Amino acid sequence: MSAGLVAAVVACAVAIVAVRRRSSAIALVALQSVLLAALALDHGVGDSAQAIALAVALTAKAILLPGALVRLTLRTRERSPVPPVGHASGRLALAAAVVLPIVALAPDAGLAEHGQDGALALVLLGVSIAVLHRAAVLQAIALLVAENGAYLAALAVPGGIPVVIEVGLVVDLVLVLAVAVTFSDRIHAEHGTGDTGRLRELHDRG
Amino acid sequence: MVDGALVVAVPAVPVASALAALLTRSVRQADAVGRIGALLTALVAAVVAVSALADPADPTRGGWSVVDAATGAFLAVGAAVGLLAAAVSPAQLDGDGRRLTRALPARRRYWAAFLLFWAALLAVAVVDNLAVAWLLIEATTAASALLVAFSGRRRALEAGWKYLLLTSFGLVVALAGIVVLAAAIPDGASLAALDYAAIGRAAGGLEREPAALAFLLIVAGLAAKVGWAPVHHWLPDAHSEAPPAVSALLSAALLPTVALVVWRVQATLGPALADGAAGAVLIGLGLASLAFAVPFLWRPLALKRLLAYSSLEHMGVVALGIGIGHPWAIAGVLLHVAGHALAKTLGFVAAIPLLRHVPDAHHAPARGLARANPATATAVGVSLATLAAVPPSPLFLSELLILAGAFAAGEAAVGIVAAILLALGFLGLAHAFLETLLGEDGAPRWPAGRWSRRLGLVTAVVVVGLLALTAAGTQLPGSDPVELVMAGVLR
Repeated sequence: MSAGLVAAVVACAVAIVAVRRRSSAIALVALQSVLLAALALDHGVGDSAQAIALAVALTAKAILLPGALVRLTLRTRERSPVPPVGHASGRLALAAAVVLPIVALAPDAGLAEHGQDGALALVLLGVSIAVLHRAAVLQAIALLVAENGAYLAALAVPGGIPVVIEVGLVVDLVLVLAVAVTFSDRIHAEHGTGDTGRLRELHDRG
Repeated sequence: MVDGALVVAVPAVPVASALAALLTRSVRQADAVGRIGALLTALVAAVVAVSALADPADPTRGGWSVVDAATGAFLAVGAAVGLLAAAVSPAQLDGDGRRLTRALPARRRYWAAFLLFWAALLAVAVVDNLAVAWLLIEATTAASALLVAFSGRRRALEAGWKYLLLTSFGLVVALAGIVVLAAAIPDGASLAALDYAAIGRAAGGLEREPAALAFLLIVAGLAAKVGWAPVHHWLPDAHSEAPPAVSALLSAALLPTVALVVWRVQATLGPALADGAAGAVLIGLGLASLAFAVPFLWRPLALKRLLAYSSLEHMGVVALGIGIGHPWAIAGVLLHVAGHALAKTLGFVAAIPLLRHVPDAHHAPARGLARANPATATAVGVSLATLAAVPPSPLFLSELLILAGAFAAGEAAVGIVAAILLALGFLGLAHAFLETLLGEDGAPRWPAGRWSRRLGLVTAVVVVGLLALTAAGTQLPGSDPVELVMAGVLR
C-alpha cells in the first residue's frame, strides 16, 4: 500500500482538525475521498464488481456527499465561522496527543503495511474533529473522516472485503449523512446558527 | 421448519407498508396504513417466532438468515413491542400539542421512518451474518434518529443529534473490528466467511491477538448502540425526548436485539480469546452499566428519563447474564428481555396521557398520580414495580436466576457486587414508585376518558403477560428451550 498516498489521506484529516471554515473542510474531505479512490486503484481492483463498488464509493464520497454539504452551507450561512475549541495549534497538539500513542501501541491486526496505521489515525482524527469542532457541518464531516478510516482498513485487508458489504457501507453512509444534513438544517433554523455548543439543555441535576 | 418466504416477509412487509404510507392522501389514511402495516408485520414476525420456538431443535438456515430459538425469542419481543407502539402512535401524535405533528407530510414521514426502523430492527434478529447485521444496525440509526427528533423541540433535536453522532461513531469502531476479523479469517473476502457459524468454525484457528482486537472493537462499538456504560450517554436523552412509542421501540426492542448480535459474537468469536476473556468483558460492561444507572435511579427525574436510566440498568443485567453464560443465567436473560420489554413498553405508553395532561412531566418528576388519574397511576405503578423487580415480577425471577448463575459458574464476587447494585437500584425505583403514585404536591386531576379505558385494557393485558412470564420462568432453568437457545446462539 502506497505510503505517500496513505500519508496524504491522513494529512487531509489533520488539516480538517486545523481549519475553521466549513467550505475548507468540505473541500478537504472530498479530496480525501478522491485520494482513497486513488489508493484503491493503486492497490489493485480485482474484478468488475470491485470496480463498480469503487465507482459507487467515489461518486458518493467525493461528489454526492460533499455536494449535499455545500448546499447545506449555502442554505445556512453564518456571519462568521463557528469558533472551534481553542487555537489551531492547540487542536493539532491535542489530536496528535490522542492519535500518535494509540497508533504506536496498537497490536498488529494483520492488515497491509501502512494501511492499519492510516486507518486507525483516520478513525481517531474523526473522533477528534467531532470533539474539537462545534459546527454541525464539521461534526458531520468528522463522521465521514472516521468512516473513511474504516474504508481504508477494508482496503488493507488481504483479498479485500465482500463487494456487497462495500456497497452497503456506502448506502448506509449516504443515509446517515443525509440525516445529519437534515439535523444541521434544523439546528440552524432553531438556533440561528449551526453551533452545536448551543445544544446544552439536556443534563441531569442531583 | 420455517418457510423462507415468510422469513423474507419479516422485513419486507414493513418496508412495503412504509412506502405505502408515503403515498397516503390524508392523516387518517396514513394512520390506517401504518397500523395495518404494523399488524401484518407483527403477525408475520409472530408466526416465524412461534415456529422457531415450537421446533427449536430444527433451526432454519437460508442463504442470509437463521431462524433458531434465539431468533424466535427476540423476534417475538420485537413484534409485540412494535405492534403496541404502532397502535398508540396516532393518539400520541394527535395529543402532542404541536401542529407540526398533525400535518400530513409529518405523519407520512413518521410512519415511513417508524416502519423502516422496525423493519431493520426485525431483520437484525433473523440475519445470519455479522457484516449484514452491522449494515442493518446502522440503518436503524438513520431512521430512528429522525424519530427521536420528531417533535421538533430544541431538546429533541439535541437528543437526536447526540444519538446520531455517538452511535454512528460507535458503529464505525464496530466496523473496524469486523474488518480486522475479516483480515484474520481465511477467505475473509467472501461474505459467507462472516456468517456466525463460519466465524465459530474459524475461531479455533485464529491467532489470539487479532481475534481479541476484533472482539474488543466489535463489542465496544456495539456497546454504544446497546447503551452499555461507559458509552451510554445518548441513551437517557434519546429515550426521554423521543415520542413515547418510539422510546418504547428503542428501549424494549432495539437495545436487546443489538445485544443479541453481541451475544452471537461472544459465542462464536469468544473461544478464540483467552479462557473466559469474552465473558469477562461483558460482565465488566454489565457491572459498569449497573453502577452508572443506580445513582440516577435515586434522583427525582421525569418519568421518561427515569425509564431511560432503568434501561441502562436492565441492559446491564442482560450483559451480565450473557457474560456469565451459565444455563441459569441464560434462562434469566431470556426472561429478562421479555419481562423488561412488556414493563418498559407499558411505562412509555402510560407517559402519553401523562404528558398530554401534565406538560411539566416532560422535564420534572410526576407526583401523586394515584389522585390525578387512577388508570395512568396503575399503568405507571405496574411498570415501575416490575422494573424494580418486586415479586412476582418476572424480573425478580430473572435477576435471581442470573445471580444464581453467577454463583454456580464460580463468579461469586460478580454475584455479590451485582446483588448489591441491584438492591440499590431496587430502592431507587421503589422510592420513585411511591413518590410518583402517592407524592404530595402532585399533578392536577384529569378526567377518566377513552384513553383511560384503553390504558386500563393495555395494563390488564401486560399484567397477564408478566404473570405468564413469571410462571414460565419457573420452568426455564435446565429446560430444553434454554439449552436450545444456547445451542442456537453457539451453534
